[in-house]
Amino acid sequence: MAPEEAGNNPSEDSAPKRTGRPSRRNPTPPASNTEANSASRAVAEMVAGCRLGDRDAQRRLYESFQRTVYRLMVRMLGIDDAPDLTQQVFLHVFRKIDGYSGRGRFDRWLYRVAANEALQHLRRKRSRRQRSLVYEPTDPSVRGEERTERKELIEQALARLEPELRSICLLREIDGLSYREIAETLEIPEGTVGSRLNRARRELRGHLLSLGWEP
Amino acid sequence: MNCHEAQRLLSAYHDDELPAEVRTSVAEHVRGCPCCGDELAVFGELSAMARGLDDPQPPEAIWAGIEAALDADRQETASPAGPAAARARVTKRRLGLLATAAVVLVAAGVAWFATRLWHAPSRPGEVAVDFGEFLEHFPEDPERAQQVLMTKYDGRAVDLSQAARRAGYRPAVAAGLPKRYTLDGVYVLKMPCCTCVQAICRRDDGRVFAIFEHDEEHPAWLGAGPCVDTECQGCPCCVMRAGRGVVASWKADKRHLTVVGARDLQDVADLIGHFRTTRPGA
Repeated sequence: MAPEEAGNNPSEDSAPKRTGRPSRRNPTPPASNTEANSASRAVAEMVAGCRLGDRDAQRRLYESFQRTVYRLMVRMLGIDDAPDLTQQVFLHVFRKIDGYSGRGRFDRWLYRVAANEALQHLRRKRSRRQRSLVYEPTDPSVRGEERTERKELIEQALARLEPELRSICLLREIDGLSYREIAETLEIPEGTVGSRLNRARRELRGHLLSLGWEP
Repeated sequence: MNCHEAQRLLSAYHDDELPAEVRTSVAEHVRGCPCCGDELAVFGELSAMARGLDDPQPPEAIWAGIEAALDADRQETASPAGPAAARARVTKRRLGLLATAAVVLVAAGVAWFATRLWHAPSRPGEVAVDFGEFLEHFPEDPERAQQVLMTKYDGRAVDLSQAARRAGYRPAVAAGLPKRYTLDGVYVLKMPCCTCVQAICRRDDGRVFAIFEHDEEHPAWLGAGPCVDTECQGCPCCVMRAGRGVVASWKADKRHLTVVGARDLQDVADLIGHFRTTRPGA
């Protein structure tokens, strides 16, 4: 579900990025128009099959987009809740496929469904006063040398961000969406994206520093 | 451009989202400002760290779960055939309205009786009212509702083998619960209809609900509130809304199961499907 040029390119490895700095998910240069059109047609066909309840089309659509939905869920909700919520997202997609008009990009619509499911899940958990973070807070007695792994640090710091800031950060940093695409996905004004990213990055830096990170 | 303006645009600059002329202004400022330059460098490091995260591999079981749920949808839609199916669909569409009406009626009834009867000893004619209170309060305050029920109907906390001895049959929950649920406790209650096994269960999201196993269909203690006859997983069941939860009752093998405090019909369908597999005659 990378932000492909065609908008509906199901191939995550070959998906070209639309703007600016390339995402690590989309390391290759933009595909040709022919390739993009072909990918877009493939997704349109899968969606059409899903509208008819065709199980093979549903499976192919799932296989095409499972990794990016699951990745978002892991980072938003944690490894324990990610499988159930990924399942929930795809069930929502298959059951409410008519909610996708077919005019916009399917991957944008899917992103929106996934992000909404994740945020709603976190709000429900928060209302039950349950822990919503991905990882347990680190024991402050444990010093920096025991958690110098950069991946571990960034995972923990991301988990400490507020869900709304975390989602915007993930969509930009992990999935490489442009500001316009993030705005469409989260249904916020495009002008808000930059200011929220500013805040997210500054808070992320603060969390990292408190975890012992040295820039 | 000053620091304040540059800081406001720093993420957009870092992400290459600025128009060319604004980008040039920010670039000039950052080159001459160590403070903004340092912050920009940190943004770069954060992006690099995020891009270095491992890509988690989705478990294969996800698709199996999706497929099972889609199969269940299909069965529900396809069965039974003909006019009965149409009636069932109409019934389902009306369920929301009827359930809302049920809430109002049950709530009104409970409000009228509650203050007088909540702590009063039970007499046969009051059983339905007592239980109506339980249905109403259980989703909100399961511990309190359970305590009242235990007091009124001589409830005993037991293990599954004791429950089997006291009730004279192996409780349905002894064969296990669906994957997302855990068994918090088992009780035996001397209800007017029969000795009833009650299981207190917990969903993985923390929601608590109760499953009663009893002899009579729609026993008096379920009350006379509006109950919608529908089908879940192809199984006829009676559904009503009470408080913030759903109550559903269906025949399972030789007895009947009633779930109190289910979140929605999907939960009910999951339970019916589960008990059908653990107790094939159900």
